[in-house]
Amino acid sequence: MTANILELQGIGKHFGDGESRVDALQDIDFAVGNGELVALIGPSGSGKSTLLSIAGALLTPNQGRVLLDGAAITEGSQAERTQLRLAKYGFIFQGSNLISYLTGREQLLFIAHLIGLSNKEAEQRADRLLTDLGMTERAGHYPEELSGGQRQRIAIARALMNDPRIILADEPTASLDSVRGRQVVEMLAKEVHEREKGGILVTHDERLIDLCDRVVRITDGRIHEDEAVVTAQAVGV
Amino acid sequence: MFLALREIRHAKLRFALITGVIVMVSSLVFILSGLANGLSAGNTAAIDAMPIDAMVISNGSDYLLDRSSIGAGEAETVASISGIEAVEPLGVSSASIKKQGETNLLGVSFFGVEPDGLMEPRIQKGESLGEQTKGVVIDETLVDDGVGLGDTFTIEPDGVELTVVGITTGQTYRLAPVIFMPLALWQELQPIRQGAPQDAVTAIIVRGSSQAIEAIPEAVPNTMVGSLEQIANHIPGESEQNATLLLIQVFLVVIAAGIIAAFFYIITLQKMPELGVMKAIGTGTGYLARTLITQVLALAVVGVLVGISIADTLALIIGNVIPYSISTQRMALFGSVLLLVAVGGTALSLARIARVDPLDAINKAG
Repeated sequence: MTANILELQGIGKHFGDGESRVDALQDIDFAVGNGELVALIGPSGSGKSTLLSIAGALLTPNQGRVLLDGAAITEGSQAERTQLRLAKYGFIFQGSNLISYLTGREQLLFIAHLIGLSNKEAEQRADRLLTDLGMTERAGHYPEELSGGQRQRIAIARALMNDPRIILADEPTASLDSVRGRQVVEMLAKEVHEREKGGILVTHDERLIDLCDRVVRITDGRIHEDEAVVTAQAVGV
Repeated sequence: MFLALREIRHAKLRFALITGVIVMVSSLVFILSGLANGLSAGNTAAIDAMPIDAMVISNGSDYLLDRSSIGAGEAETVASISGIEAVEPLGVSSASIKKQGETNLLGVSFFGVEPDGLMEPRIQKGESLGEQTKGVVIDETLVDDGVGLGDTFTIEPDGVELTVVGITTGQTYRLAPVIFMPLALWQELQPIRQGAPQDAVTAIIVRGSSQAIEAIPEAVPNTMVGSLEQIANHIPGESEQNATLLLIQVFLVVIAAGIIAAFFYIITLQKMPELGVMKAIGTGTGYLARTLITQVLALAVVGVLVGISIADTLALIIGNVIPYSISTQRMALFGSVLLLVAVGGTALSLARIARVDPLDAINKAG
């Protein structure tokens, strides 16, 4: 068993002070291993977005620490955390959130430009990802010219462009129909498993759980379930 | 840079609009500068061109030549001060003339000078004053008004006739072309003033060391000394004109800064969600700042260059009708100021970019 990619230890986070204080997270212990896709499920206001933000170095906790590949990430400055996200994280948001004035292909080349890949490497990697996601033909179009599913596929390609250690997906299927949505998560799972990355999938959709390795359920700022996913196949073996 | 140009490419109209504003403002600034220059030259060119160090004028004239009257004989006293290299009397006055056979009056300035002296104008065509008694040398702008080499004209209302023997250039005073004539002739043409000395002239021009020049008012009673700059600045309307036109140019630049700042601030505000996403995926604030500055510089450079072309084209068209002259130096200076101001105008936007919270990228649904 290799060490965990991501570890959250004793995480606590609150917003506001005194009477208006809201405890978003309390006593959170959470880990993602190599090649593991974890589903994070909880109702509105449960703290799952806050948890994802802390895991993604976008938010600093009030208590506890976050380790990425064994190194604590919570002590850095804003600029350091931005660089960390660029180097180690892949984000997929609900609304794909592509840059409006870049074509699909340029969205990827932009990441390559930020991380300093050579032109040749950048083109190669972008081509591979576009092919894997079936977006080669539409890659020259702007986001406004693509369908929701196509945009989300570009978003996935973008999240993988920097070869991240861990992928954080916040309800990536929310704007997609169930077929497309499932395809998207299948691609994610494939990438996580085949390339030994980590993945956190925040979702409402229980039907996607079978694609994940673990399910974590959170309510009112606390984790109350953290179980491996038992699939029909696994049981059958 | 990667993002800067692609963003402009994707929203050409709005960026073209702001560039249009920069073009308009910069052309206005350059045109006004040219007009200011031209007007100023029209006023002071003849003074600025004088190859002397100072003018001795009467006390109380307050640097106004048309209030100065001094005896030509005082030139000797001035010459006797050690350190003075050259001394000459000079007569300056204004008049109206009429070309033979024409009815319209032309405003001119008369310079009465010592023939073959310091003030002899450089001749473009024809001859210098030399031994002439009724011959004059005119500035070439008078040629545009129809008075050419060999022509005769009369001074109104006296009716005295003079003939043009030579043409010079760059000699305008108080927006009127200068006519150079022998000092004796000039003195004849002046109206007799009560109590004025017989050999009255306007000023005594001198060349010499500054110490020597400073000693003149003591040596010669009722006199003061004015530098060319002082005389030029006191020409009626000159400083007011310059101040007004400069004020307008400053306002234009300030307005441009305001418009550019507002434009980029609004665009930045509209992009906040996008900027949040970019920060979330790892784009640094410094990178975003450099992108914005690159855009502003690119647009401002294009805008200023087009503004320069417009101003140059205008110069060709109106140069003959309205006094207008601009130097490359001035253009470079104003151009740089406009660029600096444009970049400075992004300060608000940069502050906003720095404050963008990447968390806004993750919808806080739960």
